[in-house]
Amino acid sequence: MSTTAREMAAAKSAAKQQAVFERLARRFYTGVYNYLCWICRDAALAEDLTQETFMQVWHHLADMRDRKAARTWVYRIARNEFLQHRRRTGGDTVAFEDCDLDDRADPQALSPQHNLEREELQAAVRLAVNRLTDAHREVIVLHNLEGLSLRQIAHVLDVPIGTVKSRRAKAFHALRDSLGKEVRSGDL
Amino acid sequence: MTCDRARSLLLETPEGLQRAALWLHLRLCRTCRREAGRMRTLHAAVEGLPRFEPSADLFPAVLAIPQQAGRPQAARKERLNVTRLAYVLTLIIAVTLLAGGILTRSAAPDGATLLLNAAQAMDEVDTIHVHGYSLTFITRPWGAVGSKGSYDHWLSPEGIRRQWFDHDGDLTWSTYTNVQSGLHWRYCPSMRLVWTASIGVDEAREAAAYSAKRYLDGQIMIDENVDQMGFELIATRRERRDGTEIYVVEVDTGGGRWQYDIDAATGRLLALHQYGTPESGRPLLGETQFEYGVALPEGALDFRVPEGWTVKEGVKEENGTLVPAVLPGEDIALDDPRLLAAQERLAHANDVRLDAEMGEASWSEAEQAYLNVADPGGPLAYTEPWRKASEILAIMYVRSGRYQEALDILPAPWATNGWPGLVRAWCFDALGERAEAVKIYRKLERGHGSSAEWGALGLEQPTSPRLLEITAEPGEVLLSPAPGWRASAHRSPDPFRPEAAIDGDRIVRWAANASAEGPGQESGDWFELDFGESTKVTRVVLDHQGGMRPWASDWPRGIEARFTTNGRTWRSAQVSPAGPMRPATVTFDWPQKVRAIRFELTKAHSPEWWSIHEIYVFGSSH
Repeated sequence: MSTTAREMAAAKSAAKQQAVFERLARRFYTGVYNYLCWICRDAALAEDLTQETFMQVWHHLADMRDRKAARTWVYRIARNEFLQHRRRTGGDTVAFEDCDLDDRADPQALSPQHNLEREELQAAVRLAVNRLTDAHREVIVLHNLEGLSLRQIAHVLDVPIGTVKSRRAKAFHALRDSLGKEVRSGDL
Repeated sequence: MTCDRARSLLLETPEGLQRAALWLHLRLCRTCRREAGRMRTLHAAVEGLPRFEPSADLFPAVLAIPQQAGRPQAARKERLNVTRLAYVLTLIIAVTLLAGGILTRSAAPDGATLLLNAAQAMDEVDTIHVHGYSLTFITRPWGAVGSKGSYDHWLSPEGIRRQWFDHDGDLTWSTYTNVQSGLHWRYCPSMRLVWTASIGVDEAREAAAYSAKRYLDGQIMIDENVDQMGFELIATRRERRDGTEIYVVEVDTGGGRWQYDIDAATGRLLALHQYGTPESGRPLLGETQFEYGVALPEGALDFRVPEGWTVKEGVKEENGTLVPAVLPGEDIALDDPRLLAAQERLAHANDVRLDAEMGEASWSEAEQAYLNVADPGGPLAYTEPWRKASEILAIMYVRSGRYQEALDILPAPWATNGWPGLVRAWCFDALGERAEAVKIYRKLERGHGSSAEWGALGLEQPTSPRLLEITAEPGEVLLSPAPGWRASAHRSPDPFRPEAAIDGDRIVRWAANASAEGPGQESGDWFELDFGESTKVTRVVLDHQGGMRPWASDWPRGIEARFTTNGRTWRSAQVSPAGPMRPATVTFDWPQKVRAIRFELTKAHSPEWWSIHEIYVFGSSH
């Protein structure tokens, strides 16, 4: 292959990699940020870790063999970034309540009274989720908020799927116990 | 599920009915229904939790990562390739050590040493072959002797061989120096035949064998063809000329008599006289004087010794000849960083192929399509298809004769125009006759070691050349060839006679202006086919390819056709334009009575000839 051909091939490959990266970023960056917010409880830190995550995604893009598993791959990188950060800082993260929340739900969709009750319940649920252990909260966030299947979560956390199921069940029992009578059937 | 009743229900219900009982209970028990409702609410509440929205700056920052972070790391696949290469090299070396018995000979170099030095010398080599525990360096062509050529070093623990190939890729001369004694010549461990007989032997008969085998280098690897070569020792005698004792060896090549003059002291071939046989009635065909080294520039024979090697000169000093030899300077460990660096260089060198043969490679005939590659008198152009061959041997075939004549080995890389590419050679036999056919033998490496993949070499895998297939359409019948037909042309250069186009043999052909220096196609060149009587014709196809030369380029660049039904008046016929895979064709709308048809070039083109291997005439089957 001539030099020009090699250069063309390299340029083509680089463009392709960049396109793949851009697709991954567009698709996952909000989810990754949300996930990191929930587990590190610091919006600014979550943004930093999100950037670090996608930095690693870019560096190791060539290692991504299975495009179908891109989602778990990215989340796993994000989790590793968080764990590395926690190891470096000794778990120094800000309180969950300091996170800036941007509720995407449409407040006009429900009646004022309903909204009030709903917001109260959500605030209670949010606090209850926040009080969960990291392992339980992680499963709740990935499954119920990010929509990962239990099998995908098992890949992300690198644990057996049975462990994920039990963590999820325990997390909900803990939520139920924590919320007590605040949650009634048909509240939502 | 917190209901105690449900728990006891599970304990009391026989196995097999538990699911049904539980299902029923969950719908009847108020406590359980309330609990289930709470859990559903809880799930919904969790799923309804607000998502954290990143700031507007985050996404542009993420998107800018590729620009800031540079190129992504190499894929793991690349690293695996390196691993694979290291594995292959380790395997090569291990097998090499075992095969060569080097473990038992501490003085001999290991494969790693050879490989390392091969890599060190890479600045001036194009190809490195690892044969057993021998290495072949193929240097870049250099222009000191001849316009183009290449110089081949073959290193082995026993010695060093040099071969010079001229611009046609023909082996011009070869030397082999044994490191240990400098006198004993032997086979290389890889079984690639080098000079085989002893030099300076007392028996002239052995010297004759040496001469023959030297010429047959490679050919002897094809056992079935050895006997067909027809080399036969006629006589040997000892003469003294100008104070030098000469062995004279006469060999009957089957088509001529060759006389070798060999220096009795050094074993060098001094001269080769070629005579015609009494049958051919030819006089002396040629006389070649071999002047070793004289024609070469100073230093041309000197091998550029890689760093770390020791040059030992004068191993043939007792014969008054100084031939440099190479000895390995040191043994190195497999994990030596220099070796690893060398492997890395090998892995990333675009113009270096690493071929491995674990032993005797196999010769196999090329595919049927490449047999009898006919291009009489012209350069043989052979395209290596599909797989790479380590060596290619072209054997000319004169069908009318009684012998086969071997050309030299045409080692692939430097005899090709890049790899894969064309092997080019001029096809003349020992009598100066042009070959009518050539057989190609390829030495395949498949099953005899490993080699880099096409992709790893940065090459595209070649596709098989297509061959023209000219067959009858439905409702047609092939009329040609037929007795009584007569072909004529504006020129009938021997052996490209017009009759060759209607003899039913796709190998031979008629060609206009057939000569290497000829003008090629010229306007006004014509070819005529006379059927002798009116014949109903539907289609006439001019086969310029012959089914044997997919690279043939001598189709007519501009052509018109006329035909006659009575031999007096001529009418025009439409000819489809020709191309590489598109023969010029005259198609009649309905079966047309034709007495003769004449094709005439309307456009000049150089340097391609206009060739017709065969004319296919089709008629109606009804």
